[in-house]
Amino acid sequence: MANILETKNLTKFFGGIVACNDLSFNVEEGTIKGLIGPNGAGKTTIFNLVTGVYKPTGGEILFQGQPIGGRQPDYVVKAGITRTFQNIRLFKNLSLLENIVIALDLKNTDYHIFGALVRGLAVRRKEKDLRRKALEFLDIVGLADRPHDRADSLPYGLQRKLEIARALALEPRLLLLDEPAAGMNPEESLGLADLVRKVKVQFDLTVLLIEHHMDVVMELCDHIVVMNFGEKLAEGTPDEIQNHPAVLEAYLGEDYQRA
Amino acid sequence: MWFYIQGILVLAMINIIAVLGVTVFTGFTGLFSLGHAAFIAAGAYTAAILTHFYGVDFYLALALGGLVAGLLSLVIGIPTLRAKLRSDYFAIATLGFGEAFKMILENMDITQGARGLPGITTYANIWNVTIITVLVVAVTANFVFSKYGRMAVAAREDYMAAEMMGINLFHVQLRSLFFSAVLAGIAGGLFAHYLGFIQPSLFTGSQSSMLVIAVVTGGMGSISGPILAALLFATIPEALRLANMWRMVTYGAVLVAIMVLRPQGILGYKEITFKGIAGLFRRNKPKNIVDSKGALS
Repeated sequence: MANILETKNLTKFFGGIVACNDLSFNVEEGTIKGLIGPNGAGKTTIFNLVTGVYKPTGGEILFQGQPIGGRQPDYVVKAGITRTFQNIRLFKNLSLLENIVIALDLKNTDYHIFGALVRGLAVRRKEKDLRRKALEFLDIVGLADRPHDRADSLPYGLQRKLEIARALALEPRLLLLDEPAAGMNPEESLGLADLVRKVKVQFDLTVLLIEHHMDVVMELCDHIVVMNFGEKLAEGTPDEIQNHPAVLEAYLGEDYQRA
Repeated sequence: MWFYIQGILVLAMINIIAVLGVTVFTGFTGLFSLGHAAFIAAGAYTAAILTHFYGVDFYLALALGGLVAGLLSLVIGIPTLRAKLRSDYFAIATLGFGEAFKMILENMDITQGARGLPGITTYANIWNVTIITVLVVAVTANFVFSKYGRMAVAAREDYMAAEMMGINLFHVQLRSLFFSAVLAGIAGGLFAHYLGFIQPSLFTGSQSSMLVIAVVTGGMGSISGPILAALLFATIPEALRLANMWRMVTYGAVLVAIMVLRPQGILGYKEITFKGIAGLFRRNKPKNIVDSKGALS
């Protein structure tokens, strides 16, 4: 299958600090790819480069063959890439439903500003429709029973799920998940792995995933890229990675055992 | 007595129109402006000059005043918002803009400088001001409770997450600024045609601050809150006239009390809902949602 995302010699400096150096990797369409590495290895920097939060110092990013490196985030999102955040960025003062509706607006809400100002029949109908649709997305992550709760009233794990639902509502082709299982216990993180696999099939997605829970990564991913100090250390299938000497030395350590 | 009450009401409603503009910009988009008096002045002078010197129809002049104020907002908005100025940095930029615009008014011929424009025909009265206010409230609520308002709210809540919703922050913030400036301009036009006299010193930084104060004490993310605050601020100083020198002191104390007791404002993120006006953000209660849930699963 074709590559949905390619980075070629991607480089990012912050002043004298090298956050990402000459990194090339591909994400094949329809797969789940893992991005692992110690803290500070530059994983989130990759996400920020791909989604346009940072401009690359050098190198190229291709999405479905089109260059997107250095484009604004809204352009990248419209092209079909969405993400979640390591430190959860929900619209805290809004309800669960409103969080999803904002995401749905991108591809679903087509009324014009003047229509909105007089709030004609078409606008009212659309707004109703959006809420119904938003509920479907809440249902996917199991939050449809409390659509009017404030987003920040949710426990941590559910906030992560809401963030995933919000990302899905943008109808992406490629979903970037930044430590979706952070702060979850082993049981919850396996539940999350199931969710990721389910939505990947349901929405015909490609997933790029940063995660520290090795059981989640090994369970979910078709391919894994290992990073250290902004560079690619290794790449391969979970089995290859687990037996890769450089990886074992630099990251997993001697004590690592498969969960 | 009726005339006196009428006067207070008209000025309160004009204030509400301007406050609603700032509500959209500050309460819903999350940017602070200390220069909105400039937009009020732009609307006031445009409308007044058009009716006074050119005999333009009052309502057309009012609309053009709003438009000129809106265009003026682009002059300050485009460079500052493109540079991604936020919070205090943006506020300071607008503060400078407001003062600069006042100086321009004081030195132009058509505005007759600091002497001001006397003898403007007083077309505005309690009736047309009431109708316009009601219209503005409805349009503002429609704007806020639409996709466009949601995009603004998203930018306020978390600008980075908003960008990840495909929202162009620059467009959204500029749209809110334009909208709020148009309302300020309309308020200015009404003000000029109610008072019959305007001069640059009526449009000071402290007037800009008063608008922001009304929005913050009324409640961020609320429409009815700032309306209530604007009404209170127009009536409290009048009610306190008996207290003489203690009037403004009491007024200031009320402000401090509100901020200490209710830092989120009188109605932070809440609405007093009137049927048909406030809409979807808080209505659409669980009832019909439970219905549709049954259909989903």
